[in-house]
Amino acid sequence: MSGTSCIKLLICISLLLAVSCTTVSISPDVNVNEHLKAENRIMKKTLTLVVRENSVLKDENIQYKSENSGLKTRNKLLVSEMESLKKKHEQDVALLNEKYENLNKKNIILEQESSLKIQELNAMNKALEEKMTGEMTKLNENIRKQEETFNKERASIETAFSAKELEYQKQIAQLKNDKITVNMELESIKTRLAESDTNLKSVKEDLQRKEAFIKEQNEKINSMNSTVNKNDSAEIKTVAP
Amino acid sequence: MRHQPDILNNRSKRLLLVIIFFSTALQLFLLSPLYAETKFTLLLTSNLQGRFSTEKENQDDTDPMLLLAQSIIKERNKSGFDLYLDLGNAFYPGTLSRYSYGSIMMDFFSYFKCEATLVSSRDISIGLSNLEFLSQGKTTKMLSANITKDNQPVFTPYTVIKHSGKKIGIIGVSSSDGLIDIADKRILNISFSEYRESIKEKAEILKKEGCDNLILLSGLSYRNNLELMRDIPEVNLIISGGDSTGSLFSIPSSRVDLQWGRSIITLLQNDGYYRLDLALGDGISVTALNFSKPSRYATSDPEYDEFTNRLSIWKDNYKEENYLIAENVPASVITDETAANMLRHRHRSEIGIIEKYSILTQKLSGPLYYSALMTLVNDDYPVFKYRLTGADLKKIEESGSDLVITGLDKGRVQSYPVADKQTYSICSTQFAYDRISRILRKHVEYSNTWNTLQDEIEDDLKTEMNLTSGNFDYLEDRFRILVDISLSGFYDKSVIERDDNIETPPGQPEESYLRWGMEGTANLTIYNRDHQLKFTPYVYYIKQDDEYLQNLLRGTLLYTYSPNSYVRPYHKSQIDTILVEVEGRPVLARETVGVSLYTERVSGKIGTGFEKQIQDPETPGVYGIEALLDASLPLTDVMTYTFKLDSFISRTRNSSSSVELEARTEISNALSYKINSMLGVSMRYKWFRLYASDPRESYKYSQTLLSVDLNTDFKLF
Repeated sequence: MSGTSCIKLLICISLLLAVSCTTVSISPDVNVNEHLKAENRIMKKTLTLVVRENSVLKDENIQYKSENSGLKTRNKLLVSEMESLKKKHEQDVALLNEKYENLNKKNIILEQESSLKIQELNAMNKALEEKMTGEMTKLNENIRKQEETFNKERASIETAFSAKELEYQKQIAQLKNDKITVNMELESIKTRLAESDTNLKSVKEDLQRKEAFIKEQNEKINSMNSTVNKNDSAEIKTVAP
Repeated sequence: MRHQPDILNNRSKRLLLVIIFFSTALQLFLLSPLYAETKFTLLLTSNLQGRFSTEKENQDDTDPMLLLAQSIIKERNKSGFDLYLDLGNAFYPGTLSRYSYGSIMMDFFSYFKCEATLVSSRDISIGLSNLEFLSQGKTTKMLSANITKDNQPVFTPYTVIKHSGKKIGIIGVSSSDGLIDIADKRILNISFSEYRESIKEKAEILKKEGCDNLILLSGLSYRNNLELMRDIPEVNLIISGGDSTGSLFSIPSSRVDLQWGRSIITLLQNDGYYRLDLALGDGISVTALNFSKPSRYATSDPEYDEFTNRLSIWKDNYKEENYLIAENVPASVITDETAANMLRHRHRSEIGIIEKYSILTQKLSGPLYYSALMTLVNDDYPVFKYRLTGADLKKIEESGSDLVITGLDKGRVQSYPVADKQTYSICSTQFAYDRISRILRKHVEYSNTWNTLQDEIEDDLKTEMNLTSGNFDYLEDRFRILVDISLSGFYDKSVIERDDNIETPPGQPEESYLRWGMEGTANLTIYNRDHQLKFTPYVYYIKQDDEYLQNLLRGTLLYTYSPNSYVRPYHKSQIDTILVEVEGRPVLARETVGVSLYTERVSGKIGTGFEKQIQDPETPGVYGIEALLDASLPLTDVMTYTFKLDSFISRTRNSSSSVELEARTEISNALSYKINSMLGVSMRYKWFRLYASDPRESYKYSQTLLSVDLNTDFKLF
């Protein structure tokens, strides 16, 4: 291979390389593939969610179904119980109806018997009422008479008491006047007593003054006496030698 | 008869009083709706996460969800409430809820008369199509105004409640942080619509329907909620939960009252329920918000009994389906890192990425059942494979996101520094991929394995049990092949047509000529953590008419051993010849051994060896020292400066026994502008010098080239 052709080959390779580098792009197939993978991922995730949720709901459903069948069995039991109870109830009702009729009959007889008794008792009641009314009239009359007597007695007592009251009132008035007079005398005595007390006090004071004066005079006299005595003794001494 | 007029007077007085009393009562009755406030009590839950226990025994006393159900019944019987609402994230990741694909949680809401639940990000993990399926025919509504399919809401956007003669509209808005399964995206064309517009539209509809008050159930952040309150005055109250962290300036806040007499309530706790007392007047005022933890409450509620019965069946079925995955699993702790490494192993990728807490760290040993796997994995999205450039990887590493990245250690992959332009094979969950796309703000082409992380783990435990090995160092020993091709060329054809006597105009060529040229290199690298073998054919060819201006064909085979990340011994065999034979084919061979040094931007080699022309003519070999330097400096995102130095200095004794020194140096400077991932324009300056000391002579050659470059980068595996 000559040098020129070698260079040309090199240039071609370089150009091819450049073209291949600059035109690298994602082909549509790759895009579709990626799109499918993306869709697959979403579907896978959603499917897992749905499957798991479905499984839980299924389990829950099974639980509810078993609960439901249990309840149904119980319901059947209750229905048969109800029917037997119904029968028993019907029998009881028939028995009770019979009892009721018997009682009704008894009741009618008793009613008849009781109405006779009531009539008797009513008659008795009437007689008693009449008797009582007579007695009550009598008693009312007695009460009225007694009241009249009492009223008269009370009126006379009241008159006597009012006269006495008047008399006592006069006495009280007299006593009150006496009391006032005595009080006035007492007051005048008190006044005089107070005056004499005042006089007594002034006399006492005079007396005290005079006593004090006397005391003073006595002291003076005493002092004068002592002076006189001293003078006398001195004179004696002087005279003695 | 004398008293008759008095009796009449008394009767007329009584009648008058009765008339006054009834007229006052009537007035109060008629006017009361205008002035009186109506009490409205809500029972709220959030982030329930389907926390059912899997045990049936004593479940009335121990199952957290049954305890919550009992507390709801207690609240209804004792204090009473008007409405039960859930704020989302109720379906995931509870084991039983996941197993039932949210069915049991939906039953919980239906049995305990939850009016509506907000669709939130974690709920979407169940699968939107499944949620849509579950919501059909149920009394509990799934609310979301902004999850749309062909611009139509997938779920019920709002619900209307009548209470004491008032109509209350409740709208749901989901957080767009939620990740829609790729299958749902592809098939159902589901996406998040702009939530502000959706809410505005629904609020207008509800006002037209005669709603007195509007409540928004929101999974948005406080910031977004506050913006909504500002932009949509029709909304009286926002109840936030589910995806909302409830943090206002990083501080958890359960209630914010705004100046317009409206409030934002956030449900911060998820291990109980809230009781929210409201007064409905012209607006809605919050009276009280109280949180309670569930407690045991003996109830004979028939709905509770029915639900417990169904729950028991779910638990039984779950136990029945609990098949054995592996009989004897060696004792091992499974973490996010081990799971990410397992993905690397299974898909032969260099880097494995999963979101933090995708695995609930657990110790496995002995027989492993399906139920254990269900509790282990917290991510039900498919695994993607794709390629990222080194620059992208660096951005992800720097972003500090909640991603667990394996195979990338301190900016190195298989102990080699991450190269900005090189692509790396990544294997991650869709969740991590979505996070990465947001960080990079671009769509990255991927291939979907259509297996979830759980499928991958299950398959691994059934077969290789790599997950339990604990040591994934062997992944670094895997050999990979990298092909890197770079071509640049130019073509110049000038055709001159002239008559015999006309003179050539000044500055124009005198004769027709054809000049074309190309420079091409291809690197085929086979490498692992410890060894690297690189074969590099190189062509540099320029021809003008029949004259060869450049005619170089070079082949290099370089082996490098990597005992550590920085210094690596190497052996290089290089053969230079001509591409097109012209009077024979001279062949120059160079064999060297030496040491390579690597840093992030610069790599250098220094070695010793010999050079020998083995053909046309054959000359004696010369021993010397080789020095190579490669540097690459990105100036902007699209502009890069590269520098290359290749030098060989040899020392020989000539026939007169004098020492002869020869130095061959080649320097290349290039400034490249990237048009797209493969095409670029570059300006290069090449300089070559051959220096001989005896006699002191030199050969110099320099060239400036402006070329269009084609750069490709393939990683075969």
